[in-house]
Amino acid sequence: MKFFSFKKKTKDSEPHTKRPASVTLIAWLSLIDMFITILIGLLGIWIMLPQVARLIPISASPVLQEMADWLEVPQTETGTLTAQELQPIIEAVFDLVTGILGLYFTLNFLRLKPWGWTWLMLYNGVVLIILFGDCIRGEPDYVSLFLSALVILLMNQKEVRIAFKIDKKYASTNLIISKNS
Amino acid sequence: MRSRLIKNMPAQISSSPKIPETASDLELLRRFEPVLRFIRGEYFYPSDIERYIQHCSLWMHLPDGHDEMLIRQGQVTLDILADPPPVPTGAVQFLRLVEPLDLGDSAKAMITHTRKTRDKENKFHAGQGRLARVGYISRLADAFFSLTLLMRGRVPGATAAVAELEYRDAQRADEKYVYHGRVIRHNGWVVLQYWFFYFYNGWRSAYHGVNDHEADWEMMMLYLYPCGDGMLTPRWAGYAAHDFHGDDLRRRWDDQDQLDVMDGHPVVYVGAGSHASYFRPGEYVTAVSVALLAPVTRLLDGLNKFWMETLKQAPIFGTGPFVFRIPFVDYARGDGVNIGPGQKYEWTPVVINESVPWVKNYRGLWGLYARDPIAGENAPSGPMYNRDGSVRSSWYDTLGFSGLDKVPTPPAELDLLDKRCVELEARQVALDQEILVKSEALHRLGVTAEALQDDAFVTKQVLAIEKNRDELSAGVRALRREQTENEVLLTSLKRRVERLRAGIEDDPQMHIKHLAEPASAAQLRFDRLAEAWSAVSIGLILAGIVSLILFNPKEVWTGLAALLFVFVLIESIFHGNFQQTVAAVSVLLAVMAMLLVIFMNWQLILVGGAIALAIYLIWQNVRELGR
Repeated sequence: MKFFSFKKKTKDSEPHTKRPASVTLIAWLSLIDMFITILIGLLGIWIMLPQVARLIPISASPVLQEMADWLEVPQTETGTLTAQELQPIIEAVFDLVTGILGLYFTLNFLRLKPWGWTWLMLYNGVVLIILFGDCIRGEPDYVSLFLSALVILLMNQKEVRIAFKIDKKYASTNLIISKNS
Repeated sequence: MRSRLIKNMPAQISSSPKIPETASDLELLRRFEPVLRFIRGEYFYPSDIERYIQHCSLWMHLPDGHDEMLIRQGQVTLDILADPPPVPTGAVQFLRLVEPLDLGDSAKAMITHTRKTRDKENKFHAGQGRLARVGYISRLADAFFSLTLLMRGRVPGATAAVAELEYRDAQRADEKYVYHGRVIRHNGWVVLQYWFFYFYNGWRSAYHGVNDHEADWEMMMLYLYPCGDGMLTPRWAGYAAHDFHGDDLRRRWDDQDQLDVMDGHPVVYVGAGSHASYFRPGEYVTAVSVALLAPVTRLLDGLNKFWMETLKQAPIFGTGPFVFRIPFVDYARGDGVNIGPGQKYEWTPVVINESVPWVKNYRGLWGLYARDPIAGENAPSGPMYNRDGSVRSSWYDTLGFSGLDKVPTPPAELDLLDKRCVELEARQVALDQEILVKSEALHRLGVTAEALQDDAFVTKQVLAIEKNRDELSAGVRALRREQTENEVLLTSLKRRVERLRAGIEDDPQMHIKHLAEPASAAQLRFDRLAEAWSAVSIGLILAGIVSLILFNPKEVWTGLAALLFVFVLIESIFHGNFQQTVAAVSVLLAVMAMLLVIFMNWQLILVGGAIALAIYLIWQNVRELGR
């Protein structure tokens, strides 16, 4: 569990900000979400490996050849894919990349970095737009909609914004505790 | 700019100037007449009315919608305005500077105007674009406002050009800069009211402002008080400006941060075209609220309150009330022509008051009645009247106009404070005596009631005594409260008297609730890029929408949301509020998502809620059993 006990690095003389419980809750929700997203991306790529293999000249590199043998990827000629074949690969790569990015933002959010808060907020906003698009296409995912919206609303709470010093006017001394105390 | 002005001022300038109380109205007006600083590129300067009305005809707008000319151009005189032709009920009387123009006349006037005003020395530069200063909602509101102009009555396009040519002709024949001054003595104050008349207000046509109208009356006031030795000295200056009322309109004479004074003359920075008066040089973004959007504003205010107080959320769009601001900039840089004592152009004063016939008797408009229902494009009435013929508050209530009706002159304030202290001290002595007497009476009632407690035959009498005792007790308590409160008040009053006697002044801006501040030059980052972006962004959004409809009609709504999201974020980078914008937009999307989830799954939510409640109740009951 050492991995999750992130603490904001501060100089000895600097007071450090106590992490509110809701920040930890948001971070956990986001971490689970990001891991699931990365897993879905990896799984998607795994399933589509035969198609992916056609995009890469495997035989040209012994390393790639060795990896393909290890993963038991069927040997195919390099060539192009149809749009229908390409679509799930793009989606899987998109999931993987966004999952990794989201993970990066979440970890920095957990470390109480203000930019981590901003980018995690932005990330969830973008996710909501994509999910709204799904709704319009008739493929609603209400669970994800609910979770992303919940994370945003939790992040917008006053105590969370204070912890990240988003609004200077909310800056309060009761959350700042001296490291020596 | 200001600090430079102050630094360059000789020492005696900052001390209050004085003038004998016996000075005539004209002498008073001349002693403190203001310095008006106009923007480079201003077309109209304060004029007399005689030259103006020489170019005017007198008209009447009848209730049936027809306009009828009463007196031809060139025949209108001050005598006629002093005794104007009668008009039927519901009709509007108005002067008209520019006669109706056909297309040919308009084109000719515009060309002549362009040729004659090609003066590079005196050319207006808008600078940072007004649209770059505000967000998309305001830009859309601006587009909406422009559309309303097509539907509302407005001053015809070439009118400004013709008016400017006529003003130039008038100036060429007899160049003069005129103010109409009035002196009022009220509640110990001597009020100097300076009225400035302009041939035309060209704020919209020349400076992207709110309105245009023929004729323009603007005003400022100075408030003097007797400072002893039979002398008067200025204490306050009040300038009429957009969006401000009462206390916010005045500045104290010694407030060096807010009032520029040159050799005993207050400096006024005049808005380009609007001719509004400002204390500080700069560019003022004026908030013009859209009446039609008032219910939406109220609804949003209510929702904001619920959001912040009930849901404990951080505000999405700031903590203040919602305002749909249309981004009009009033340019009051003061970098052009200066008029006033010691300047290149000096004043020609004209003293007016209620006894001047044209002031009192002409209630009509001083320029074209454009039939604009919200009146912005209709010409104003004279200094004494509103457009509807009622008397202006600035005319009959010169003190109340700047919130000074409740403020005595400094010597009177000291007298009043002394009197109040004496009154209070006398009251305290009286209270001492009254409390003593009533306390004794209360004791008597108390001991009597106690003595009768055990006597069953006098129950009625005891009840009456107890009632009296309780009433008296409440009375004594009230007197003690009053005495304590008076003590606190007395201490405050005496402290104030001491401060005033010692010559310690209050903060000169203590009375100001809303301070008119020019827009900061550093408000926008990447100035040029921001301006270019603001100029093209709305167009790009529209182009994006068209592209989505043409090339990907199935994804129009998602694409539109993404497009707006990206544009708003780019804009926020220019305004330096990326973080706040990201939060605001994301929270808005989250609220929409929550509403959608609730709307689409309300049955599931109800069932889930009922199950959760049932589990909770069972758990509570089981816990109770276990105890």
